[in-house]
Amino acid sequence: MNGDGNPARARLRSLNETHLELEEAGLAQEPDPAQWSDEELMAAIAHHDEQAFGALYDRYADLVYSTSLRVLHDPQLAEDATQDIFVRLWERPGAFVSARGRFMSWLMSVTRNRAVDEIRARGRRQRREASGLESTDEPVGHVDRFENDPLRAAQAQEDQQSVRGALEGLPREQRVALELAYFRGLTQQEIAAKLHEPLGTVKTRIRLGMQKLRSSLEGQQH
Amino acid sequence: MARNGIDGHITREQADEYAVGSLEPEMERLITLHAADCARCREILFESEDVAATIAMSAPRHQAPPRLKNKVAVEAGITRPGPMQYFVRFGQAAAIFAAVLVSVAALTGMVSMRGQVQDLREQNAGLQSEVRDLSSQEVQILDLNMRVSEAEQRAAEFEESAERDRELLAAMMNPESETAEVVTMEHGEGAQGRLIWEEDEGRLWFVAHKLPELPGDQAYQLWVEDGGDYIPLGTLRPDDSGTATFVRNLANGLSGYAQAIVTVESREAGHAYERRGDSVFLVPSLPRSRE
Repeated sequence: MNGDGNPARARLRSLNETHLELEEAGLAQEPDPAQWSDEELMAAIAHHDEQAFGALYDRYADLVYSTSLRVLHDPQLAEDATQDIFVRLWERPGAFVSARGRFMSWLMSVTRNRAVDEIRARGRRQRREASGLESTDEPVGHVDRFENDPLRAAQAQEDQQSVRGALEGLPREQRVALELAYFRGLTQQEIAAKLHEPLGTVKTRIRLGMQKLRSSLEGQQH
Repeated sequence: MARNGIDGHITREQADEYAVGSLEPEMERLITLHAADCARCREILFESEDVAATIAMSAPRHQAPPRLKNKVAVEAGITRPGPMQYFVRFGQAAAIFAAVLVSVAALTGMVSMRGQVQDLREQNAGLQSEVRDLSSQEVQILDLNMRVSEAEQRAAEFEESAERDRELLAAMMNPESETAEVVTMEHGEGAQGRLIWEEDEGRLWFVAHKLPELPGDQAYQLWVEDGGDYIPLGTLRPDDSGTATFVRNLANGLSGYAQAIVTVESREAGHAYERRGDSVFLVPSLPRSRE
């Protein structure tokens, strides 16, 4: 497995070899997994590196939990989903293939699918639909919004600011169509029925919304 | 890509709809399978997933409960449960036991109550109609319970199917996997098949589409050939759309087998391990396990 073509693994091997050389020279320091890229952490987790797993958890637990909570609106279910996702990630790190794209996009896709499966399985959708469109932002029950950790709160706010701005910059009907699909797991047909709009209108809103999000993100990168 | 099938490559619009999860399940499955074989379309999907991830990131940020990290570590087998967790587990077990006791007590009370109703029925004929009403309500509750059970079963099946689809996609994209050419035979009637050997997991997948519906006493049987003998691996169970996903662990790999074949067998023939029926698919050359 020396030449598997995986750049993350190659870099990890390189880091390990460098570490060994420094160790022989008596200059080695413990590598800090918190500084590694997502792909390097996943490559290390594939070799059962518990520190790497801890670092990855610290990096993404809040995001996975928040996304689950946004879909499920139940702190306990969101906690269960987060636990399930990270345990699977530890047990089957091969499910993420670095050639598949960005780790964070993959993780968000896994999180969203896991949470949507949960609401479908529990038949919670109908109950939440009855609660109306505008009441979906706040979950039921107590959740910690970093009241005791201002540093993490500031970091989370910074992370969110740009993407939130992009989404909030969309016309309301486009944002609603995207959120109904992504956070409620509704298909286009179901969204059309819910909003009493033609299917073609819903498809157009999703298409335009994604186009604008894409343009907005590209603008931020340049 | 046509509305109900795949004619070419995935469009940007379809990739976006796939990434936000707004497609109907059948179209979503077709795109998943197509992307597994098409690097160009995979790239389009990844780019759309990057955009869709920003929707997730826009969710109000909450702190994961601090205790969760330790729970994850215990569940993953990294950390053994501490005394407090043993205490919590004991507490949970005690709570369940208490609930069972309460249920038994309630049941006993219910039986007793029915006995009293029987006495009253003998004393007062007027109460008989009330008891009949109660019985009717009980039947309705039983009926509702049955419907809930059926709905739960359907939901569990859906979840299981979604989980299998995700595992299949991971298998298709696993660099250790190999795909074998599958030939559709005369009795396949336009069906398509694909065999994937997942080397590192030791798993054989067989996916089929557009399988013709069979009478209730017949089934699609997957075999592997070993020196002229056909060894049954299992049956393919197509859903309403004719799609079947089969997976099986083969600890010793595929090296001992010359080819694989799918036939239509009657239930008796399938159980008797004899290949008698017409061929649907042929896999003339199986992937070899690496030394």
